[in-house]
Amino acid sequence: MAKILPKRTVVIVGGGLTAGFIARQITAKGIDVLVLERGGDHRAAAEAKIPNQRDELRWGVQNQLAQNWATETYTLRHSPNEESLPVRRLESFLPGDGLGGAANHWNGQTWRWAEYDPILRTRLESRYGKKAIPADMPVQDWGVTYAEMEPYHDLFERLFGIAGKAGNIKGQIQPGGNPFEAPRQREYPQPPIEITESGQIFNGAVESLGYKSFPMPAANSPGAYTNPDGMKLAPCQYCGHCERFICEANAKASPQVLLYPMLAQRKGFAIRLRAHVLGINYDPKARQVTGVRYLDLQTAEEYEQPADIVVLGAFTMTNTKLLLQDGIGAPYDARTGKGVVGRNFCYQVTSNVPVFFKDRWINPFLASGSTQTVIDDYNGDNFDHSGLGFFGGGYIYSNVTNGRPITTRLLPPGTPRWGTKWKQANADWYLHAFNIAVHGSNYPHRENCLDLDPTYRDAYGQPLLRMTYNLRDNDHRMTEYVTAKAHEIAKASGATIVGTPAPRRGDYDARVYQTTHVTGGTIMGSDPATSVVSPHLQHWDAKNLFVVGASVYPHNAGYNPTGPLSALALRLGDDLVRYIESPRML
Amino acid sequence: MPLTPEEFFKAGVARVQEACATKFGKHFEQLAPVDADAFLQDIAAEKIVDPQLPLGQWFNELVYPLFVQACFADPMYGGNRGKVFWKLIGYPGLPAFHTRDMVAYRGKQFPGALDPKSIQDFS
Repeated sequence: MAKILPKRTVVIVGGGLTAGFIARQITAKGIDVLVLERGGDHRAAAEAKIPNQRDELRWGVQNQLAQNWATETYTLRHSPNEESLPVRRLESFLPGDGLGGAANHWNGQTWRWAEYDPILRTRLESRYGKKAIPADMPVQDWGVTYAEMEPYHDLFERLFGIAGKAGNIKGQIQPGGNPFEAPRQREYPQPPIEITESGQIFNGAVESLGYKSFPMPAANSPGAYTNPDGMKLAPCQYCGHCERFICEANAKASPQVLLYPMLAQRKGFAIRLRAHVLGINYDPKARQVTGVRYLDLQTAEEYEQPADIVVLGAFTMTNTKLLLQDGIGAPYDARTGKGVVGRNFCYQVTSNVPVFFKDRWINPFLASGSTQTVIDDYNGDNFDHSGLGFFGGGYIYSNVTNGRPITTRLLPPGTPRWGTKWKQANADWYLHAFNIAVHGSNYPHRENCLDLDPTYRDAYGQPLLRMTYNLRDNDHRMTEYVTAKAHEIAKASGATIVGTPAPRRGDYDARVYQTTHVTGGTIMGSDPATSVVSPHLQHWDAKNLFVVGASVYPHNAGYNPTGPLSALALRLGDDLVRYIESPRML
Repeated sequence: MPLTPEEFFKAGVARVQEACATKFGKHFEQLAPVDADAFLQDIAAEKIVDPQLPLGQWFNELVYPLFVQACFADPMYGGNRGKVFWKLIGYPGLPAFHTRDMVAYRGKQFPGALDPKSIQDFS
């Protein structure tokens, strides 16, 4: 039987980004917190040191910092009529493993979402009419406004030293920034990082077409930076090893650089590594949780950890799986549209147009994870969708984040896959090409959801989470439209060869990396019939259980998800302080 | 029961050798380069159909990526001998401390690409 441990005030499942922010807020008020993290501490290991940090095969291809699919994977079916199968080599998205979670190995692209994103249904209905939203697209408001989140976005950006150029300060549009940006109270804490040759080419092309480009907001530090907690970032080396890698230079804002070393000094903070949470102890009659059960992966001993409050701060998939396993909240049923846990599972829809320049030195290895320039004109609802037959969109950008040669070589159309001509094409174009890319939204579809697989189990004997997911008509129309805009930019770039535009066609393919941004499953909202957690991220059926992360997003925008989930985590920390003062539905 | 990646890989090797024996009367390793190339092209294009196993998928999803990795991974793994592929394309390798290079060589040929360095050079 499981050994029962002494009770803690707050227990957080998952030692990543959100747990770090919550712990920062509550330990400052003297509240004790225990974080349970299934992985280890990467900071002193090969992945965080020169020369092995630069091993593309180990970290970039074999994904050794991401979840081990041989231990736990997900199953996939494209529609409810198909049989689901386990994805043995999942490449599409990369949940993290270890202290810091997926925010160890991120690229650092850091967005606030549009001002209308938290009120998306209201926005679309007011602009296009109630009937314009398809019945199978359950977009819904979040129950929180951007204005409520803004102070927490600001705090997050200070804590992480985000580098960028403001586009909208208190409603005043700023030259050089994103004119579609939600209003911010002040400039970014750091100026933009250097842009690449590809970014300059992109800027020229979009300017000739009448768009305004701006630098990607970055968590890759352009200079030495000290945050309000006294934690430091070093200057970026532009080494091209961000996504899938740990920054050995401490130049990429990450929880294990800026949060956990600071928390380790705080009274009341504790973390247990190699602690794999198996379940949540739930008392449905009392509508309360009483703690969690976990497995110590080093001793194989099982423990019960009682807690006054449990917070799920794991990756999107794990947050959803834990609620489903212990029957907390009604599971979503796609046939009836009833139930909540697992609904509005979304991904993102990305695409590329490669461009090749005989006489320009792109030097893709001179880059960081956010050295891109961007236009936001075709993202979300930044443009009029009347008569287009879809909603959503994406930002278009010069996508050079690295020149790692196994995966980041572009070859012109028609190049053979091996042999002399293949070698020659690699020699001719590796230094002279880049992608003009689209990072696109994915609005919810009634049939896209998560539940527990009836057949397949993980290494611990628990059911695998099942994705019922596909790209839908809305996504296919969106990607055709926005990729065509990217193609126009490619044609205006002066490229020697414009490659074949590749809008995302056909079925969702879990074998190909697209983004790590899976969202939904435990979504937030004001109505318990259509949401798992309240606007304060409090579970409707267990008032001392909270859930945070991209799993609470009711839809997925064309932006990277880290900004809003960090803001929500910091706000949740403050909400937990209020809850502890007086336990109630917030 | 679907195959694991390892089972799929091993089964594919066996089925390809059988297809090769049927077509050429010998093992794949014994083929002349021109025949080997044509045979692989046919497998990749799914022109060689095996009743038990999707050979095209096996080649394109499991074998071809290993070929690319052998060419472009750090030489410590046994391929890319003498950094021959890095030299071919102009990848400078390590240590990639490019804070100054980022500005100095933006849009210009990077001299470090002529003499790339690998993990072993820093070990």
